[in-house]
This record gives sequence, structure tokens and C-alpha cells, in this order.
Amino acid sequence: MLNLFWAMIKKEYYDRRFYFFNTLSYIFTLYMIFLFVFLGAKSFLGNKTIEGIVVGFWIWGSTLDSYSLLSLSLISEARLGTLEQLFMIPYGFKWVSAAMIIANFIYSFLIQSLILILMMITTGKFLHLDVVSIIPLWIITIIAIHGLGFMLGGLALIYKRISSSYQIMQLVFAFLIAAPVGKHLYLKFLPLGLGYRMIQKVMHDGIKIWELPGTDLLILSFTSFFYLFIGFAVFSYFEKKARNMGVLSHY
Amino acid sequence: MNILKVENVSKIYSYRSKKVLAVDNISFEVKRGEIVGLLGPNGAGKTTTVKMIASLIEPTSGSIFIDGKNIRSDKKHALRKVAAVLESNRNIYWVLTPRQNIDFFANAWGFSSRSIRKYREELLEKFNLLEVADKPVMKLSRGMQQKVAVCCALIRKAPLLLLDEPTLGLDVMTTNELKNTLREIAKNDGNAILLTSHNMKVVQDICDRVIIIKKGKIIADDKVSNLIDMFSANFFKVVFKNGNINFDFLIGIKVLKSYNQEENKAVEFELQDEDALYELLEVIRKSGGKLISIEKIQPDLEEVFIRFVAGG
Repeated sequence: MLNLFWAMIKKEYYDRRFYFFNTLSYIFTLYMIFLFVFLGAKSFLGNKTIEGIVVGFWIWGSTLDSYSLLSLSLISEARLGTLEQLFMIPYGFKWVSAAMIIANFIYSFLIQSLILILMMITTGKFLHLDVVSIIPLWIITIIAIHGLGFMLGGLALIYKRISSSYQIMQLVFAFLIAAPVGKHLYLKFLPLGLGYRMIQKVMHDGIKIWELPGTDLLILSFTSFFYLFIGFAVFSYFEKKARNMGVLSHY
Repeated sequence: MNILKVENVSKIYSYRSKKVLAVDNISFEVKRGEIVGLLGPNGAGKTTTVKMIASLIEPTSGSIFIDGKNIRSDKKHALRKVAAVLESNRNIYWVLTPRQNIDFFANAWGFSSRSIRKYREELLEKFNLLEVADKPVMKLSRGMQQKVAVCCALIRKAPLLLLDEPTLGLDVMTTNELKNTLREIAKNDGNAILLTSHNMKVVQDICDRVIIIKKGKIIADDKVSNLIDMFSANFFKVVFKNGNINFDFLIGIKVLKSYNQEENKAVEFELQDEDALYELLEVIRKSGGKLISIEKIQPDLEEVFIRFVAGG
């Protein structure tokens, strides 16, 4: 099993190394978007919300990475003709996708951390980088998005062209991050919002993970894994349907 | 011993309210070390059959066993015993090099890079890929990409290898190279190979047995030599000189080839009616031609295939 995880981590590395310019331009594009948001917010709202924007943008960037992994990557694998090979791996596709997610976590975290450093340098706001608190919260928050990625990936197996939804989802994620979870309890059960608030408390206020409210940690973990589970269930349903229809690799 | 057993397998595709029977109650077995060709016209159900064996398409009914393991109930163990190259050179990562691709598929199947290193290098050498082993696959020729895909399948050391159109788009040299290697793998390593191909020459050259499918049904399953013998009684070659004859007008004769043989004329044909042979000789005589020889010839697999598909 470890070899499977190692295989995915290496493949992701080779991929990113080969498309190094693409990775660089991705970092540059995200940074430019941040600059527009930052400068706009600064001129309208002053310096009060800058830390929130930095953390929010960092989560948003990580969200895009994770969401595209299982939705767009599945389409790309199918186009390449390698998806069927992944479905033939004896461990089963759930473990294959787990390995893909972990490989994505590693590289996404590295890239987004680089962007975070750039954002902090640009804004002059140096946040608390308590990795022991940040990494688990970041992973649990982003896991929910993999659930959504699985749902869309499942739909892509049957309906094929779903990439146009990617643009809409970018906005949806921004709204979810900005959701006022402090005012409305039910919003804590949606992806991203609660995780963002907790990461912001760690990075802005210097609070440790164990100092955060236990109920919030429980809600965050429960909802994230719930979305992952639902996403995987939806994916499994469409995978079965695609096997029945014989369209697993048709693009 | 059988490595593959396909038992009463059917596949019905449903498109909205329409149902299409793609595979109709087929059964066959493949032994270790055996190379079996799965032939059939387009849409006959070959790829569906291969993909059902690879567990990529769910059969509507019937059972498939790989090395005794049911592909439905014991999928994990069954999949350990099968490797496939299904979309020719598209089954590998084009950004990765041949070495990286082979490592990836070995690792993904649970083998450590160290444990397969020796075998990987042997495969690269066997397929003449050592020189390009560290170049991205996208920079290799189609034939080389195809060979990398086969290496990636072989590295898993699965006793059953499924190949869908393995020689599609390959030049003669590469096709021959691949043919020899596949034969060697089956003979020396005891791998069973089930391949689909439209290239009858390849199938005739390397397959021990041929299964012909038409409209989802198996219409022939026998050794290549037996299938050829079955039709050889009706295949003749007539050599004559002088005379200018249009054989197309003769009823009961299907002309396969007509050519000059030294200063004589030769016609290869399939006899569909015994009396037609005498009629043909009479036509030659009447046109002033002189019969030189008449002999029975062996049809090739392509002719046998056409006969089966047309008439079967």
C-alpha cells in the first residue's frame, strides 16, 4: 500500500517538474489576483481586514487545488487513457484516490505556503505560522472539498464535460469562506467557513489548536468527513453506473 | 491449467429505453502460456469482452474467473492476475519517461522500485528501449510508446495479459519485434495472452487459438491451423497460358487473386460450387487457353475470417 502512495507522490512530482512553467504561472496568476483583491480592499476598507484576506485567500487557493484534483484530474486521466489503468489497480479506486489526495496535499501545501509567504511580504502582515496547529486544521478543512471533487468527478464519469462548473465553484468557494459562521450556527455545517475562522484565529490571534472550542473542532471534523463520505458515495454510484454503461474511459 | 474462464457471459447496454445486446452468452477458457486471438468485425463485442475481463465493464450476467478467482466477488485477488494494454499507446503517462512509467505502474501494484529494478531493465533491453529509457514518452515514436505500454503491463508479473489492438499503427519492423517478444513471453514466462486485432497476419503468426465473435456470439473457437484446414478444401489455384478470360462472370467461383506467374497467368479462387471448377476449365479451353496446373491452396486466416463473418 505504501508503494501506491509513493507512486502517486512521485508521479505528481514528475508532473509538476515537467510543467514547471505552468506551476510558476499558476503561482503568478494567484498572486496577481491577490494583489487586485488586496489593493481594492485596502483602498475601500483600510488595513483592518488585511489579515483576514490573506488567510482567506490562502484557503481559497488551497481549495481550488483540491477541487480540481478529483474533478479535472479524472477527466484528464480519462483523456490520456490512464484512468482505466487506475481502476485496475487491485487495491481499489478508493485507495488510489486517497493516494492522489495525499500527493496533492503535499504539493498544494508547498505551493500555497509559498504564495502565503509572498502575500505576507506584500502586505507586511506577518501571521503566526504555528504549523502544529495550522496543518491539521488546513487538512480537515480541505478534506470537505475533496468530497465535492469526488461528486463532480463521479458526474464527469457519466456526463463527461463538466469543467465549466469549475468557474462557478470558484465563486461558490469564496462565498463559503466568507460565510458569517459566527452569526448563523447552521453555516458551520457548510464546508470551508468554520475551518477558515479557526485557521484565522490560529494565524491572526496566535491561538493554539487545543485552545479552540472543542465543539467547533468536532463540527469541523464531522462535517468535513461527512462531505468526503457523501462525495465518495456519489462517486461510487456513478463509477458503478459508468462500468455498467461501459463508458469509464470514453471522453 | 486455465488462467481465464469466461462462463455464459452476456452484456446488454441500455441507452435510454433502447437495449443493445453486445455480448451474447459467451464461454471460453485460456490456458497458461497460450496466446489466443479474439477476432470479429467492428462492433462484434471484442473490446467489451476484454474490458469485462479487466473488470472495467460490468457483465449483465455470467461469471469470469481469473486464476480461479471470480472477478466480481474476489476482485482484488483477480485483478492481481491480470494486466492490460487497452488503448494502445494511450495507457501510459506521456510526461513520464519509460523508466518512470514502469516504476509507477509497478509501485501502484504494490511492488517496490528496488524489487523490480532488475526486471525493469531486462524488459527495457528486451524491447530495445534502453537508449530512450530516460526520455519523456511523448518524445518517442508510436511504436516505442506502444512497447512502453506493454512493459508497464508486464512489470506487474500478472499471468494473464490482455492486449487490445497491440499492433495498431505500428510499422512492419516494430510489429515483428512485438510479435517475437509476445511469443517469447508466452513460451518462456508462461504468460497467457488474449489479444484483439484486425491484423490477421499477426494473429495467424502468433496465436495458438482463435476465437471469432460476430454480433456478440462466438461463431468459431479453434486452433488457427484447424480453422484454415476447415476451408482449405475449397481453395484452388489454376495456372494457364494464353486465353483472356473474365472470371468474374463465372457463377460458383469467388476469385481471390489474379496475377501473372512468369509468362503464365494464375488465378486463386474459392470454389463455392463443385461443378464450377469444370466450368472454369471449359472456359479456359474454349478461350484458347492451355491449362498448366491446378492445385489446392491453403487460405490464410484473413480469408477464413471473412468466410466465417460473412457466412457464420
